[in-house]
Amino acid sequence: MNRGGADDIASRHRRRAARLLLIALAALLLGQAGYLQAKALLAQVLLEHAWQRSDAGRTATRPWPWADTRPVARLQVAALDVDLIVLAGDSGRTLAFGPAWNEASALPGHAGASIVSGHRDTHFAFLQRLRPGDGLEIERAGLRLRYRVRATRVVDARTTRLATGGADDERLLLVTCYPFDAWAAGGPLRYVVEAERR
Amino acid sequence: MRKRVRSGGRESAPAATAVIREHSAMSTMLRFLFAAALLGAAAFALPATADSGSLEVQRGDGSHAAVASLDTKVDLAINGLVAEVRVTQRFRNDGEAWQQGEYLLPLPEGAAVHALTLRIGQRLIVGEVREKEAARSEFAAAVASGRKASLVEAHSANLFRTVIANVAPGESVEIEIGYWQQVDFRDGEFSLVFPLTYTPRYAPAQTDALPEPVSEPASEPVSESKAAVVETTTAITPAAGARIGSPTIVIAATLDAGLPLARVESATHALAIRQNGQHYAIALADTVVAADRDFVLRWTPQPSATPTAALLRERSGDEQFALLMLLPPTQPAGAMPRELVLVIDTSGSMEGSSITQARAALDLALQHLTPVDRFNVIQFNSRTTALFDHAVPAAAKDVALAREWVAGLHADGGTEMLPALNLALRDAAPTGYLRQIVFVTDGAVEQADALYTAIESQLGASRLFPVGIGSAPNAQFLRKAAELGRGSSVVIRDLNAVGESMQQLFAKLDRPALRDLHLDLPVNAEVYPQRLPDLYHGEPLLLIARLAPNAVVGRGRIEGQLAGAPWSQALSLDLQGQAQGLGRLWAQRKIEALDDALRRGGDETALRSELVAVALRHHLVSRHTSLVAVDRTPQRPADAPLQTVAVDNEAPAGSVAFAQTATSSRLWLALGLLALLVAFLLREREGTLR
Repeated sequence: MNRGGADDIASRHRRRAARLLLIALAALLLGQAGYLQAKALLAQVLLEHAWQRSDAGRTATRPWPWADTRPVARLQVAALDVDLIVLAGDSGRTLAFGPAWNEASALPGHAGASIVSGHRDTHFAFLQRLRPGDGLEIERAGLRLRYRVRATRVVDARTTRLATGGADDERLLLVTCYPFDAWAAGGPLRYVVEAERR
Repeated sequence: MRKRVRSGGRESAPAATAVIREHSAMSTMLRFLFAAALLGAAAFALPATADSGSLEVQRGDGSHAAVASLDTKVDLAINGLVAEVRVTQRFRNDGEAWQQGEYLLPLPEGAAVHALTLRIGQRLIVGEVREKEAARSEFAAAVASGRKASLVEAHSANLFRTVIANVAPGESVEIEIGYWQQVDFRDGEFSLVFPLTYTPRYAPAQTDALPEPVSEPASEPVSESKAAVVETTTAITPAAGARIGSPTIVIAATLDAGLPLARVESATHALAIRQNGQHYAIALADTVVAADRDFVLRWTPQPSATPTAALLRERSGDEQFALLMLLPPTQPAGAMPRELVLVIDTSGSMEGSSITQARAALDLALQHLTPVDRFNVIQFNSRTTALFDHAVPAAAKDVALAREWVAGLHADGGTEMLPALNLALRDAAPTGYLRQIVFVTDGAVEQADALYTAIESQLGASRLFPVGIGSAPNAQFLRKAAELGRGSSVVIRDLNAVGESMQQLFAKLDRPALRDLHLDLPVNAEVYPQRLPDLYHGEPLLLIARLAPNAVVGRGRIEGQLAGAPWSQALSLDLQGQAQGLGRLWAQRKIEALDDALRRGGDETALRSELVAVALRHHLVSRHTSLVAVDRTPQRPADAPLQTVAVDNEAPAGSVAFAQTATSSRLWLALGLLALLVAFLLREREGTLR
C-alpha cells in the first residue's frame, strides 16, 4: 500500500510536469499565432497615421523609422467593411504589416495591371467573399479609383506569372494564397481577383 | 479517453492527428515529452517561404499559353584585354494584338554601350545615339504613328532600360545591343563578368527623384505620358520578383587571350570548352540557364607566361588610343600594426545567404587579427550600431566578444549606409598604425553620390576595402568606393568562396601598397584614371589614354612609393598589338570622369555639354544620351486602333512571380489549442485515477 502510494505520487509528479510542459508549448504556439495576427492589426493603425502624414500617398512617408516600405494607396470595400492601407513592395517582411503593391506592376490609376498581394489569413481573408460585379475602391494621391470585380480564379504559382503591362485598360489584381482554410503557409496555389476600372 | 483525443485532433492536419493518436496509447512521461517535442518540431519545421519557380506568362482568360516571350543570347568575343559583347534579345508576340515590351537590362560596370540594331524579318534598322530627350520624343512619335521602334537608355549606373514597340501579333523582332568591356586582371587571373540579374537598389526615404521610366503605352499622348512619369518617380526600383529578360539565356564566348593558358573555368556555371591552339570556343554546358546569378568566366595564363606589361593601340580617324597594363613587382614587408574597422551591412536586402556569407567573412577577418592590432565592428541597416565606441586593442577576450556579436547579427530594415560610413571614417588611428576599413555589403544603394562624396572628403589616412556579397553585388559601387577610398575591393559570390576571397583581401591588407604613383609620358596624352590608384598585391596598373594623333612613342616612366622608399620603373611604349574598341572604352572612362566632376558640384552646363559631345562623337549611351532605332514605314494600320489592343493584349515582357501570401498562424493556433486540450485531458485522467 505504501509502495503503491509512492508510485502513485511519483507518477502524479511526472504527469504534472508533462502537463506544465504542454501548457508552455501551447502558450508558445498561441503566442506565435497571436503575434502574427496582432502585428497585422497593429501595423494597420500605424499605417493609417503614416497615410495621413504622407498626404494620401503623395509623399513617401515611412510608417515607422526602421520600415523598409511606405504606404502607397488605400483599398476599400464598403460592402464588406474593408479599409486597408496598401504598402510598397510585396516582400514577406512587408506583407506581415499589410497588403502590398508589387513595384514592378502598374501604379493604380495607370494603364496595365496593378498587383496587390495580401495574407489569406489576415488582411486578404475577405477576398473569398468577393463576387463578380462587386465594387472596390482605391484611393491614391487624391484620386478615388472605382473598380468592379470581373472574375476570380485559382492559379499555380509554380507555373504561372502575372502579366504587368502592355494593355491600355486599368486592371487591379488582388492576390492571396489558396485554399483559404489551409493550415500551413507555403502552398503553390494562389487566388486571384481581377477587377477592372469603371 | 482515446476516442476523445482523436475527436480533438480531427480538425487538425493529418500529421498532427497521427502524432496524437500514437501518444494517446502511451503512458509514460518520456513518451509525452517525445510527442511534445515532435509537435514542436513539426510546427517549426514548416516552410516559411514558397518555391520561387515561375516560368510562364498568363493570359486574361486564365489559360497558360505564353502571350509573349523574350529569349536572350549573349556572344562574348574576348581578345586579350578587351571584349566585344553582343546581347541579342528576341521578342515574340504570341498574342492576338499589337504589343510593346519593356525590360531592364543589367550590363557589366564600365560597359561602353554603342550599338542597337533592330531586326525585323530580313530588314535591319540601325540605331542612332541622340540626346536623351530627343531620343524619347523620336521614340514616342514613332510609337504613336504605328512604326516599329526601340529605345535603349541608361537607367542607373549599370542598368539599362530597353523598350520595343509596335510588335504585330505573331511577329518576332530581334534587338541586338553591342558594347565594349575591359577584361579584369588581378592576382594572376583574367576574368570577365556578365550580369544575369541585379540586386534591387534601396532608395533612402528623403531623396530626390529617381531615374524615371520612359515607356508609356502607345495610345497615350506624349503630354499625358510626361505627367505619368512625374507621378511614378517615388517608386523604388522594380521589386525582386521582376526578373530581367526571360528564363531562357544562351551564352557563347570566343577567347583569344594571346597567351598560353593553364586553364579556363567558371565558378558560377558549367562550361563546354573546345580548344584550337590559343583559341577557345566556350559555351554553357546546360545550353539554357536561369537568370539567377551572374556569369563569371576566368582564365589563367601558364605561370611562365604571366604578363607583367602590355600595350595595345587603336587608331581611329584622327585619334589614337592606347591601353596600358603594367604589373609592378610586390614585395612582402615587415608586418605593420593596423587598426581594422569592420563594417557589415545588415539591411533587409542581405537576408538569406548574403548575411551568412558576410558573417563568415567578418569572422575570418576577426580571426586574422593579431594582439598588436586594434579593431572595431560596426553594423548598419536603418540604424548604425558600433560594438565599441572607439577602436580597442585586439585582446583575445574582445575579439571573442566581437565574434559572438557578429554571429548573432541578422538582416532586417533599410540600407542607411551614410551614417555607418561617417562613423567608420570619423576616427584616426594612433601614429604607427595603418587604418583599414573593411566594408561588407551587397551595395544595394540607389543614391550612391552622397556616399562617394563622404568617402572622398573624410578619408584622411584611412583606406577603404569594400567586400561585395551575394549573387549580384553592385559592381559599380564597389569599384568606385574602392577607388575613392584608395583601397581595393573583392567580391564573394557564394559561401564556398568566402575563404578564398578573404585570403585575397588579407594579401592586400598585409602588404604595403604602391602609392603616390605618377606617370611620365614622352607625349601629350589624356589618361584615365586621372588620379592613379594605390596598387595592392596582385593588382596591375590599367591605363587607357588618348594620344596625339601622330605621336611617336618612346619610353615612359612610372614613379611612386613602396613601403616608404621611392620606387620607379621604366615603361616601354612600343606597340605590342592592335586592339579594337579602345576609343569607345576611353570615351566611357571620360564620361564617368565628367559624371564625377558633376557630382562634385562642377559647372553643370559646361560639363554636361562636354559629356554629351563625347558621347555623341563616340556613339555611346550615357546618363544624357540614348540609343533609338525607328522603322521608316508605318506597320500598325491606322484603322487598328489601340483600344483593340486593350482587350486582349495581355503581356509583353515584364511579368512577375507571386508573393508568398499566407502565414501559418492558423496552424499555430490549432496546435496550441491541441496542446491545451491534451494538458486538460491529462488532468481529467489524473482525477479519475485518484
